Amino acid sequence: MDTTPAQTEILTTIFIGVFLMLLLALAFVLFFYFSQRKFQAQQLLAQELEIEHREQLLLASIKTQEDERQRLARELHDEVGSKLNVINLGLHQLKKQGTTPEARQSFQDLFGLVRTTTETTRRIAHDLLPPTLEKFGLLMALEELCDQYRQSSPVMLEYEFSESGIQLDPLVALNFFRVVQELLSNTYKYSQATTVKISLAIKPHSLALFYQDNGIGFDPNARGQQKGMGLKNIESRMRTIQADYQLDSTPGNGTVFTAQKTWS
Amino acid sequence: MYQDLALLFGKVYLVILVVNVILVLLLYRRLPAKVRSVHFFLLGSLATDLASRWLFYQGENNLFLLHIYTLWELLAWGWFFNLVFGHTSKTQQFFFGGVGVMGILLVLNSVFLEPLTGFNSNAKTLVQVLLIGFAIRYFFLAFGKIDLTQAVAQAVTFINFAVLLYYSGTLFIFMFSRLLREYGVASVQQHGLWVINALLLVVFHLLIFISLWIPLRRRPKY
Repeated sequence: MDTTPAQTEILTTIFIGVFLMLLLALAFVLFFYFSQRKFQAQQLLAQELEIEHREQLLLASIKTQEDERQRLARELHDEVGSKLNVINLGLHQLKKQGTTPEARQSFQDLFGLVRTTTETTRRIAHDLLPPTLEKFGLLMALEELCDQYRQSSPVMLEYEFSESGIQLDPLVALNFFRVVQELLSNTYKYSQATTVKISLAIKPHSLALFYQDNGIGFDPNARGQQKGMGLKNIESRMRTIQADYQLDSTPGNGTVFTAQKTWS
Repeated sequence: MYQDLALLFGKVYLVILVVNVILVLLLYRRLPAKVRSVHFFLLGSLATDLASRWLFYQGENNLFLLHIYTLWELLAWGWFFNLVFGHTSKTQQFFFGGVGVMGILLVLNSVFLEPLTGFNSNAKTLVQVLLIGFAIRYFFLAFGKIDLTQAVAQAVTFINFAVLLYYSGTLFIFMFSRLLREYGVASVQQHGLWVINALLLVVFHLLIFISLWIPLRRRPKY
C-alpha cells in the first residue's frame, strides 16, 4: 500500500520529533551527570582543604604544646630547682645557729617541706619532658616509661627494644616517645587489657614500632563516634614526621598499632 | 522487516520485564523504599502486556487496555515520584490532589473524547508530558544534593533517566498515533515507529533492571 505525500510528511515529522526528543533527553542527562561530577569534585576539594587546614592547626597546636612543655620543664629545673637548693643550703646555715628544741623541730619540718617540693618539681619537670630522652635517647626513655607503668599496674607489659647505634633525629624521637606514651595511657585508662607488648627497632635507615594490647578494642570507623584527641594527636604526630602508621582495632579484639619511619 | 524487529524487541522487552518483576518481588525487603516502589508500575506493565498479547492472539481489540494502562502509569509513577521528592504532608496533599485531578481527566477523556476502542493520544500525551516534567524536576532538585557514589542515589537517578528517555522518545509516537489512524496511514507504514517504541521499552526496562541491581550488589554507604 503506497503512502500519500501528506502521510509521508507526517511520518517524517514524527520521526524527526522522536529523534530530537531523544537527543534532548540524552543531552539533559549527560549535562546533569557531568555537572554533578564536577560539582562533587569541587565539594571534595573544598573538604580536603578544610581537613588540611584543621590538620595544620592541630600540628601548630602540638608544636606549641611541645615548646611550652620544654620551656616549663627547663624553668622548673633551672629556676625553681636551683632556688630550692639555695633555700635548702640557707636552712642548713640557720640550723647551726638554732639552739632551742622548738627551733630544731621547725628546721626539720622545713627540710622535709623543701625535700618534697624539690621532688615534686623534679617529677613535674620529668613528666613534661623526660631528661632521659634528651640525654640518653629514645630507647632509654621508653624503658624508663615502661618501668614506671610496670610498677604502677598489674598489667603485664612486655617490651623489646633494639638499636643500631645511630643518632636519631630529636623530633622523630620525641614524637615516637609521645605516641607510645599516648598509647599506654589509652590502654591503661580504657582498654581493660591484661597484656601489652611493645617492640621498637632502630635500624640504619628506619625506625619501626609495634604496639599491641589484648583489651576490649574499639571501632575506629564507627559511625557517629568522634575520634578522641589522643588518637588525633597520634595521627598528627605521625604525619608531622612523615611516618607510615596503621591502627587496627575491633571491639573485643584488642588494639594493634604499627608505625614506621624511614630515611635515606 | 520492521514488523519482525518490533516483535523481536517486544519479546526481549517482555523477558526483561518478567526478570524485573521477579527481582522486585523476591528481593522486595532488601531494596530501598524509593527503588522498590517501581513494583506497582512493573506489575501493571506485566499484567497489561500479557493481557494485550492474549487479546491480540484472540483477534480482539486490545486498545482499551492502553486507556487503563495510561491511568495505571500515572498513579504508579505518581507514587514513585512522591517518595523521590520527599514531600511534606502538606505538599503531598497538593501532589496527590494534582495526580487525582489528572486521573479524573483521563477517565473523562476515555468516556467523552477518545473511545476505548481507539488510541488515547490526548491522555497519553498529558501523562507523558507530566512524567517528563517530574523527571526533569528530579534532576533539578538532585543537582548538588545527591552523592552519585551512593547506591540509592545512583539507582533513583537511573530510574529517572529511564523515565525521561522513554517518555521523551515515545512522546511523538503516542501523540500522533490516533492522528495516523485517522489519516489512514497503513499500519505497515507505522511499523518503524513501533520498532522505536519497542526498542526504547527494552532500554527503559534495562535501566530499571540496573537500578534494581545497584542497591543489591552494593551495601549503602552512610
